[in-house]
Amino acid sequence: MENTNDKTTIGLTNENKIILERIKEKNYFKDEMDIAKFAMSYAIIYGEDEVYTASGYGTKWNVGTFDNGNKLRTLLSVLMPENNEPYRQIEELSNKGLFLIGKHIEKNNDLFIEEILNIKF
Amino acid sequence: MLKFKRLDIKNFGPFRGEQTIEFPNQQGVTIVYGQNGRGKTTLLNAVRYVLYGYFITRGSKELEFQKVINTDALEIGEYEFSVTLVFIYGGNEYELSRVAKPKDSSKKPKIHNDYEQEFFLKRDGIIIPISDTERVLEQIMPEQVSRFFLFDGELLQEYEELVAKKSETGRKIKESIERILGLPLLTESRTIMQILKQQAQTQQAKTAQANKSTVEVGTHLENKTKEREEQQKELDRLLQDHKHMKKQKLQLEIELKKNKNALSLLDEKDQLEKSIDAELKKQDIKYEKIRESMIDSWRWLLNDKLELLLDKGGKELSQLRTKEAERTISEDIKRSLEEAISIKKCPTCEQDIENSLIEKLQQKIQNLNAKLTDEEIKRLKYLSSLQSKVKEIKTETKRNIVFELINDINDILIDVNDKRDKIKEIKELVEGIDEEKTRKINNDLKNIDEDVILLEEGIRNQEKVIADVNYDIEKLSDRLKSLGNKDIQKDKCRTELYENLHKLFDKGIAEYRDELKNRIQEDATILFQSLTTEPEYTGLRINDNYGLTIVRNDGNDVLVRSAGIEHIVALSLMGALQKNAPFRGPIIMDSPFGRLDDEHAPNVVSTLPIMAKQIVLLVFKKELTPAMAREKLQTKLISEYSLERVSSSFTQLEKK
Repeated sequence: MENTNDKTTIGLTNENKIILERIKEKNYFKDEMDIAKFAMSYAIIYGEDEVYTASGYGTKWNVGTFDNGNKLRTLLSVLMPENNEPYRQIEELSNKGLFLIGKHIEKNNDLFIEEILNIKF
Repeated sequence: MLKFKRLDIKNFGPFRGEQTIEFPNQQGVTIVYGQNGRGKTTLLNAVRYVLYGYFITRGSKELEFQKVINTDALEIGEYEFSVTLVFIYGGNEYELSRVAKPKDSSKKPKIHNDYEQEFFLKRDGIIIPISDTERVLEQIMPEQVSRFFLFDGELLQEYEELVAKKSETGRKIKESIERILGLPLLTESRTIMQILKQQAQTQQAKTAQANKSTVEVGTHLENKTKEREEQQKELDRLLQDHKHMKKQKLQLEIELKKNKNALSLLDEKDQLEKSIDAELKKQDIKYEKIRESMIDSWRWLLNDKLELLLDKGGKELSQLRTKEAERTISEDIKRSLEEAISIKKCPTCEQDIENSLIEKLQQKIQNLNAKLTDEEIKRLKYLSSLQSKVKEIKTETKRNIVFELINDINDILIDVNDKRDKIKEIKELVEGIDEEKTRKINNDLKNIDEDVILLEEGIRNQEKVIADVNYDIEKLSDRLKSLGNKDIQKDKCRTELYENLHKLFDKGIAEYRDELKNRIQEDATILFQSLTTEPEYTGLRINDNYGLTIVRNDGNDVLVRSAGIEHIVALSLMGALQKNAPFRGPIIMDSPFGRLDDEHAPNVVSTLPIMAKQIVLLVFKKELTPAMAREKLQTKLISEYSLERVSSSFTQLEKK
């Protein structure tokens, strides 16, 4: 069901923008959107038990660009069928994922993508 | 025969104050022992300085007086240093001195130009005029042959260049060898005959011009001799350029030799840098592949989770679908039963149906009317949609590809870091060496080589031009002889005489050279056989450059020689040259055993007394122990000195 209150842009907190920059430096991603989407999936898998609250996401991408092909919305409809604000959820998950990857970077003093990719659901 | 009697040094290098070495009158070996840095090479340089006015450090000439004076002396205001060599030559006693003193005695000299040098030579106590000093010294101990008398063990490998390389150093050594063997005396005589012959031909032309019957041919001959003079001038100019170029080439070779190791290290560094660039390009490609693989990582990262969702709903979906399918089949059965009841006949076998059976069939139809509930239909729809959505999202995982690529990148990084470490090591090794300059020298050397080739071609062409003119002159000269009078014939006879003498010298030089080579080969082989410890090495064979190749007992050449064997071959050549040279004198050897093992070193020590009548060895005790020296030399060991450390800047010469 369409919800007119859903977000039309995706943004990141300032802290997560810094983390995103650090990930970008590793050269594993083509652009920042790929990182944000990756972070979203990371949060879906790894962050179920993690509490994350943040606000002030700002504006970074238009959802039309961010979810070109609507696959993200489809994903949300599969994983959270009750949620009728998929893009708000996607924004939150991306930020949560970045926050969690930030913790990994802080712990290891670097980003070990192998370790992150090895996570088992 | 030159013989050293005494060497006095004052404030020269580590030798503070006035110090002296006396060389005993009898034949044999004097040994000066000294540890590294105590002044062995400085002593060799003191002799070189007093004889020729320069020092050699690390293989190249230097003349920086401020680097030579003893630093302690300089601190206490003694700014002067000097070396005096007393020697016997041709029955006379000579005293040769060089003194370096500051131009302004009140000022501490800081650079070379702050010094001036006094130089004098006495013969039997009488000073020889300065204008004659250089000439007398050149006669006694020519600088060109000094390498055979004052030699640094570390430079013995230069002689390897005589064997194969066409280097300027090799050519220069060959020249020095021929000089010490007295060949220039013959070659100069041959040149004189050539000049005299040409002068006689000029005279012949003049005589012919004075006679009417020969004036025309005489004029022609004069023109030709003038043409030859002009062409000869051009040839001389080319030869001069050639000489200049060869000198430049030699200087470049010496410079390059100093940095030869550095150059190969720099080449290695270049290769490493190129290899790093290539590796980094590979790394970029791998990163690009990772980035491509990671575009959909958000999808394949969720594959497992989505699969689990599908599994959960999959069973229910399957049950609902079965139910749905069963319902469709039931509709067909129901239609058949209703038809059978209405006609009271089985539509398949055409048999009548009894009333009791119809009742049962009606009951059966009632049962077949069961349908999916609304809830079940809703659920079926949801699960079907979920399945298609999951299929849409799921994608082939590229996790393993990414892992492989990351592994490859890590391998590249390790490799690149190894190479960077090597580059760092090389940079430390070549620190202080002007990389750009070294490369420039290398390039200049290549360019000069090409120029020399072109110039040599020009010289050959010019020689051909002169040969053609000479041919014309000979023809004209012969014609004049048949036409001319007695005077002309006399001139012609004179020309022929000089020509024949020229040919005689030419032949003599070739024969003398061959004979010398044979003698050197024989003597070097005898020495080599007593020096080498390898029984399979039976002799040495000499080439046109006086390079010596080792011959094995099976007649084959030994193509690869170790530094130690190279040393032995060089020493054999030295000994053979000493024996065959018209000029004889003392040999001073600095660190001659450095590259020799403990079997070769004693052999060399035993052989020394037959190499020259006066030998001075500058060695460190590990290289040659006093016990071994005494055992091997016995009565031929005539004097021993040691260089004792007083401080880092003060060495005392002590007689043992």
